Amino acid sequence: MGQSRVSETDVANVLIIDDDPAISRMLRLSLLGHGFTVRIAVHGQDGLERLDESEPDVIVLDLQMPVMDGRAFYRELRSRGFRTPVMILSAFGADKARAELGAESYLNKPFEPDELVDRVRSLVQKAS
Amino acid sequence: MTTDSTAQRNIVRRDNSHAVPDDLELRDLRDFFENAPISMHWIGPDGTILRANSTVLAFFGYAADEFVGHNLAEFHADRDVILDILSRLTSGEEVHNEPARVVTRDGSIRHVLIDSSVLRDADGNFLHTRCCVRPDSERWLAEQRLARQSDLLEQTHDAVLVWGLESSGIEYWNRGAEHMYGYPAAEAVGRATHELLDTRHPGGREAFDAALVRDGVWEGELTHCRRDGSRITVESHHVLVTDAEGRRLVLETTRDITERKRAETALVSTTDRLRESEERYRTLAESMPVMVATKSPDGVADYHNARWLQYTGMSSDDLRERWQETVHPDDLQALAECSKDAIASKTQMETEYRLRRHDGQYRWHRFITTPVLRGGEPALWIDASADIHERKSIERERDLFVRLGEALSSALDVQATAEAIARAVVPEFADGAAVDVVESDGSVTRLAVAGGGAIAAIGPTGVLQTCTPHFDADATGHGALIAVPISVRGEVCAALTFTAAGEHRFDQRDVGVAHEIARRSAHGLANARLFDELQATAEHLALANAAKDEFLGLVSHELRTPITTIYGNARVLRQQGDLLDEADREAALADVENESDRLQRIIENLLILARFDATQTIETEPVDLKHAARQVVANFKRRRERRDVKLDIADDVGFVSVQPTYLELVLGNLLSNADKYSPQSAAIDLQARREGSEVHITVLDRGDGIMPDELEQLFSPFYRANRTSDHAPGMGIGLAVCKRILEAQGCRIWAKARDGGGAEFGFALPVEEPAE
Repeated sequence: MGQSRVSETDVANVLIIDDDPAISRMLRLSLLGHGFTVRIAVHGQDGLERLDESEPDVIVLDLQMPVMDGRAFYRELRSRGFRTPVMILSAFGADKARAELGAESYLNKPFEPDELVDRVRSLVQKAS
Repeated sequence: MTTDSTAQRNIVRRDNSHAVPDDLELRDLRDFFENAPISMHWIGPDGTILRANSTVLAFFGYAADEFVGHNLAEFHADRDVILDILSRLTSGEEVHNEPARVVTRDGSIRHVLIDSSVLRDADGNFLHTRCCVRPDSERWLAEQRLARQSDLLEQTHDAVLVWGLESSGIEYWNRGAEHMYGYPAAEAVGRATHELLDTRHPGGREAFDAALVRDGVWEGELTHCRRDGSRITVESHHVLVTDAEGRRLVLETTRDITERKRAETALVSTTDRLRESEERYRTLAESMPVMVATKSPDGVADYHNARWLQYTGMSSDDLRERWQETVHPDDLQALAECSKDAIASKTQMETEYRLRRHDGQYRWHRFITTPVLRGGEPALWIDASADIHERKSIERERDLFVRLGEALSSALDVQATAEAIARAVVPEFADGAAVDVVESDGSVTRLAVAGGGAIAAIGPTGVLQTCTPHFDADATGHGALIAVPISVRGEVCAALTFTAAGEHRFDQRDVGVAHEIARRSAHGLANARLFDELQATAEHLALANAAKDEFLGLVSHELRTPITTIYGNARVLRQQGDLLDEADREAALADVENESDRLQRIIENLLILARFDATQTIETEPVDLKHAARQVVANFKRRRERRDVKLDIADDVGFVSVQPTYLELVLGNLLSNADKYSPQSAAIDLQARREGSEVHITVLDRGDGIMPDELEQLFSPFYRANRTSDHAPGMGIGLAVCKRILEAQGCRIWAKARDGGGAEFGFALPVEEPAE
């Protein structure tokens, strides 16, 4: 939708996996505004299908979801050999889940959208 | 004498010159005369002794010259007698066996018999007598006897006295009398006996005299006064005799029996004392609150006091034979050892043992066996057995209650307490024990058993139903089973059953003890129940605490998610509002609105949950269900645009009685619940049907359905299905809110598995008939 406006920078691709469409929409707008390309999945299984299309630079992952929750997705991701940095996003226990899973970053809701963008940018830079 | 002696010599000479026919014959006669074993002597007419042979000299004890030539009268005690014999001889008589008394050289007088004849010459002139003297043997013997008797009379310690019956004058007083009374014979003879001796007759003087005169004899005890003033008791023997002159004399012999009397009195007194002493000890033995028996040194019982016989209900003979039967079998050895030790050490020993009473009850006794030593060896054993059953029982009960108290205080929960009670009473009080408790549903559970096996067969049901103890006492008041209820705050909560095995039997006292055990156990059980409740409460609180923590987490999650969306969209709109295209901006604004709405619903639910309890009622009003339902579904669809909801309300459903705001909340929550727990692709059905005076409204999904064990907890606040709690959002308050709201309006709500899979949540509302 707005990808063209940030095309002059090195475009990083972010995959958002969250069952709450309102959150996903808000995150998408925030990241788009800072030049990221964004894809959205509604649960873990959906996220795995998006990986098959192309590997994102960063994954923003919710924990509580139907069909396949965040933890199951993370383990599946790593078991499939993907080393994509993952940022856990949760209203409750994001820090605990990050430590438990060994994820690269986390954010507790509610959060400052700029903070999210900074974290995602930091993850992209570390990975590159 | 000299002259007489010369004359005698002359006679002898004269005989030798005149009267010998020839020498040989003369020598022969002379020799015969001299040596004849018969006393022979010749007396001249004047009484001069002319010749005497050796035998007569030996008889008299004189030498020849001391005898021959002397006048015969010198040697006779009775001059008259010998002069008379001589005159008769002179007149021509011959004397034969004429008694006379001669005096021998040692002064003693001897009775003799004299035979004599006179030798005359041819002219008839008296030449001399030929006299033979021989001892008067009979007389001599009689005299000897008399002398001996007299001597005896004098020698005897008994007093012998003779006094005249009429005069009382004493005529004879022997040495014994002198000795006995202190008066010499010279002083006593002639005095009146009764005055001298101050005789006191037992029946008085007159009676004594009368008896003596009547019977001729009197025997009895008298008292006499001695010269020194002391009074003696005598055994007196009186014989009335009449002498040759016709006088009546009393021969009295008395014997001093003062000492004997004293000894007798002393003996009587001692005997009395002994008898009294024995009596006293026997009375003591009989009256003591102790059983007493005596045994011979070899251990055979020879006496049991009445108490012993009464206690055992056995005779002395039975006890001697079969005493072992009365001792508790377990205590026989201890008792035997006690006796053995006592015999070995010859000292008092004691032990405690159980003795069987006549009614069969074994009671504790203290046994003490004590030797009575004579010359260092037991002459007798005294056994005492004191009933210490009460003391022993009290001690035993005290120990029991101490043990029970310790057991109860160390046990915390009901199970441990029951086990502690059973263990504490076995085997000291009972051989078997069981603890049964009443559960909250009224059933009875046997929590603990200790000891005997027979107890398993006996149930406490009767005791628990009637609240009264059970004791299977026989006619003697003994039994093998006691069951007592345990009450806590007036409510029977348990029962204790005690059994006795073998010889052991309970009595009434044990029933009291059982009650006390129950009373004390009641406290223990009450405490244990409180502990269990506390434990349950603690567990419940721990669960509640965990639930609260989870709830707080859920609340924060539920609140944070919409806040994140609202806040994030506000920032996006402010920062890049101009850069956003129309569709994005509209969506962002719509999300802000919807999430605000979601926040409001969450808060509303929480408030309702906090505000309502089960007793609260809600004012209702007629609501058009069809209209209200459409509204709710439309609102839901705005939030969940991809979820298909099929609304199916029967035509006959019209108005219902309900609080409209709460109806929307209930329907909204049920739709959210169905949405949360079922796949997105499956439609949710909302149906309403008329059922009599009610309308049944159901929300049906095609999710995982409901497990039977979930039904109970489904409507509890903060409950979330285990299978879905990991991924289903929400706090688990939606269904609880529905239940509270509906119950507050007097309506019911249910959940069940849906035919063909999925769940059905339904509730009933009363039909509101339109007013005519």
